[in-house]
Amino acid sequence: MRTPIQSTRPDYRDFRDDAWVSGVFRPLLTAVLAIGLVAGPLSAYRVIAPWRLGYVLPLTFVAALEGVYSTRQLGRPNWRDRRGLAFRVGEVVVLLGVLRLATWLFSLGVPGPETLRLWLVNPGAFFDAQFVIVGVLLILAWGLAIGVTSDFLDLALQADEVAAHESAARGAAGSELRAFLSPARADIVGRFAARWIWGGMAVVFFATLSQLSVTGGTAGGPLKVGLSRLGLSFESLAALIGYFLAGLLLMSQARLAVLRGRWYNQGLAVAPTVLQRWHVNSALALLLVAGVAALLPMASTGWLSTALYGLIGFLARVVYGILMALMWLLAAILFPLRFFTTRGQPEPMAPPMEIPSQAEAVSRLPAWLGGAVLWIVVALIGGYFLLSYLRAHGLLQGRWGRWLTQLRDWWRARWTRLTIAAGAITSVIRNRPRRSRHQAGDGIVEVPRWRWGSLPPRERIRYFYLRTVRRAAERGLARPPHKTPLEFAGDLEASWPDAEEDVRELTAAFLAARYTPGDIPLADARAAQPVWRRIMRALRERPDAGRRQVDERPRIDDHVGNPPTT
Amino acid sequence: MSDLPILILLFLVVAVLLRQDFVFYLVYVLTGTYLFSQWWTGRNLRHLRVHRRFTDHVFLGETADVEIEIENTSWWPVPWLRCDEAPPGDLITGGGVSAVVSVRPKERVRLHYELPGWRRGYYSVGPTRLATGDLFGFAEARASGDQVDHLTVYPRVIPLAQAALTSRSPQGTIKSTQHVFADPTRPVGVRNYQPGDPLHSVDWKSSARTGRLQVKKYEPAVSLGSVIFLNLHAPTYSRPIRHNASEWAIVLAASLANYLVDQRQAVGLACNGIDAPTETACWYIAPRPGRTHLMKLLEWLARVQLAETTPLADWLPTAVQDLPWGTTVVAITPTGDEATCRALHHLLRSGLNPALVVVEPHAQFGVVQERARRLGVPAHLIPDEHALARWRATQIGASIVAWPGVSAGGSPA
Repeated sequence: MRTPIQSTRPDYRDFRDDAWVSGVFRPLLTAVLAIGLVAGPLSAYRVIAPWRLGYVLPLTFVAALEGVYSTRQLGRPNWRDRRGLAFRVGEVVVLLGVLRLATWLFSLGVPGPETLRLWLVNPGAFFDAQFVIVGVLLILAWGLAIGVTSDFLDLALQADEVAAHESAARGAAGSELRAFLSPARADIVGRFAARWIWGGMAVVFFATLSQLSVTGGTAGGPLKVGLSRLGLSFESLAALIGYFLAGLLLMSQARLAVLRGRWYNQGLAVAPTVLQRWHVNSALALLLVAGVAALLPMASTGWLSTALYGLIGFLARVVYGILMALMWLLAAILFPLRFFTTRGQPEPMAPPMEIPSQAEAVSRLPAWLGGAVLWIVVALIGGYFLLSYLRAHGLLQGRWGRWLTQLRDWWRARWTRLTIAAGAITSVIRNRPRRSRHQAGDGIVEVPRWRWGSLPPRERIRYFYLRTVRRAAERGLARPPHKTPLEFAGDLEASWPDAEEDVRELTAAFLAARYTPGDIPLADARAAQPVWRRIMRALRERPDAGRRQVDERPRIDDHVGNPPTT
Repeated sequence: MSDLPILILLFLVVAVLLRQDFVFYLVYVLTGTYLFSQWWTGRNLRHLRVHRRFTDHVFLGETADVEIEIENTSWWPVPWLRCDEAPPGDLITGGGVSAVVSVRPKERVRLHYELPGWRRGYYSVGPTRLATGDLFGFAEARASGDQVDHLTVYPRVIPLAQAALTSRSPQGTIKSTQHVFADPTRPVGVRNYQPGDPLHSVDWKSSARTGRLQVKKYEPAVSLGSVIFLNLHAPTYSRPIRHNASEWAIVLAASLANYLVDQRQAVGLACNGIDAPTETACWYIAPRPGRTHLMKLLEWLARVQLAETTPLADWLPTAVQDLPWGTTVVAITPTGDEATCRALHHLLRSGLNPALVVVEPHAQFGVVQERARRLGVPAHLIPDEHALARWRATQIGASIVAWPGVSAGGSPA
């Protein structure tokens, strides 16, 4: 019972062309059209690769129906918030996922552990040729179904048209101007017809391609192209013919839409029998024509075919002769120019061979890491679009929705903890060098090992010496300000007698680097590095403890390339 | 679908070059569909028969129910057929039909619409325009039916109980107050003989029964054979009210004719307007009694149109040449100008009985009336229905029966 405060405004459903938008006849025709689009290239690929592709056409049928359904749903005003690229990409993810499963189940077999390891090492191996080719065909068929459905949604009576028709100001110029003018229905039909016709040409081209057999071409022999005479498989033939018959039936539907819109806008009373009988009449007319055509001779040997073959051959020879004459003329015109264009030009140099660097040649990362990262990224993106698709279809409501919400909350809690822990670790790492510098107070900035190469030789030797001084100070032997390096070297030798020669050598290198005006060779800096490393190792011991380990001094070769243990 | 021939041609080339049977089949199907659509659409219209049925004469206010029957005489269905029939221009607020139907083989489809007769006139109904096409958008055909019918909407008839028209014709069917018009075929009783009574009026049976001479009493009656002259000369009417005044004149003529026929009088009609279907100007229908004749008069009144033809004053003398003596001539005209009054005076002198009825509101009708009175012609101003009611009431009170010179014109004698 309507209460006085209830709104009496018309709902959008009042202006929706439900009679046209719903129904199963057009979706089925669209799916048949999509199957026909795939059948041509598929028959060609069957010749090239002996794949088991029996699952493709049924899968295409399902994909096309999915495209029709989602496009119809997205056309509803209450689904307008779900329109967007994310929804469509989600559909693609679902389709490709189903296709991947189908290729494993029906053609390639379920992948084993070795295959999985291969995908980790080489992610490109996941996208095998069959998956890629069938995937492209599937997406094409799905896109065709979406396009056709969109066309037929545009052909329906639009809400604005109905509202204008129901308006009290109908017929007034102002009312007509206010109406939203969608593209003319004839243009939409033309768009659909062009899509169907050019798609049909491609289908026939591929189907014909599957009939060609290429022989010869080896050992200098001529390449021969001819018809294999193998014939198309039954399902391919049925799909190809179905493409054109379904297209014609859809053309009939489009014609009905154009007339229906015209009649509606002109205020004509349309008998229900017109719409009821339209499908039957068009199907019967097409069956009649198709039946009569099946009874006609196929004409490949008929007189008409022979005559046309001769005519086309003659025309081809004429065109070929004209082209040859033109080419000869062009060559004759351009021949004198050859001397001017080729004189004095050096032979082109061969491009230098690229030699990979040592760092590139020797990768220290595990082989599977890149693939794993890639798969994680792919899984995240695919999961996002999959969730978008499921959410848009309302499949994430109820128990599954609650479960996903709990999962999300759990993950957020873990992520928060991880973030806090990572922040604490980062803070500790950042504060560590500051603290050491603060304690040392000598103004030396610790340089990581990988940056030593960027230091000049003089600075590198100074760095080694000053780090030694700092380590000695940490061990209780600070250098007094009044002592020269040589005097302090004596103190070091006294405290760590095992490093006596190294201390002397490093001090000499430091004095040279500090007071010599000339350039310090890089070799000196490199030579000082193992010396300094041995001193630092020796300074780990307590003073006067090195005497007992004279014979245990490590060799230079053992520490080449190791990081400094500062 | 303009690309379809290119597609067929390309397929044909592919089929011929590569000898591909399935491409040949596609060429057959596409070409066959195209040709079949053309052939089907073309023959559909040739096998359709359209019949229209309706009541072609209605009175004002009645509605004509029009039925259009479309018959498909072929064995092929017509998938869609658009049928348009617009209402006549002056009845545009009426129905008309614009419908789309599907007709099966040998099926008859009937469409209905109504034509409200809200305005006098003679209207063309039809032709029916048909349009059909194929199911694929390859062909479309249009045709127009050749059956054009006509609807006649009679003018409004106002019933008149009395009409103050004078007569000079004795022994009619209308009672008169003047005994000079006593009708010997209408005895109403006897009375005592008085000297001077003719002997043929003595009722011998009553005299024998009573023993005294009795003579028959006759009811006085006149014959009111009349011709209504309707002036539809367009320039005579004032331009702003030309349409309404002329239509009122026609209503008045129809009402008078109806009254006179009810009185079993012979009525004729003459008009200088144009009869729409025959395009006849200045036509004349001889006076006759009876309902059939009345319907004829009404039909002509329904069809007549205002036109620039001969003025009534010029046409009147020639139009009355064949009228018998004593015929009442009622001239319904917009204004009582001097020429018209003089023409009526000539009729008076010719032995006819003219009367002038003015239908346009006239500020100085007294002048006209005085002019007519001097010329011996009674003049009446009846510009609308209220005036007609007043005029009728006045006459009822003054002179119930045909009046000899009761009106302003005085005695016709």
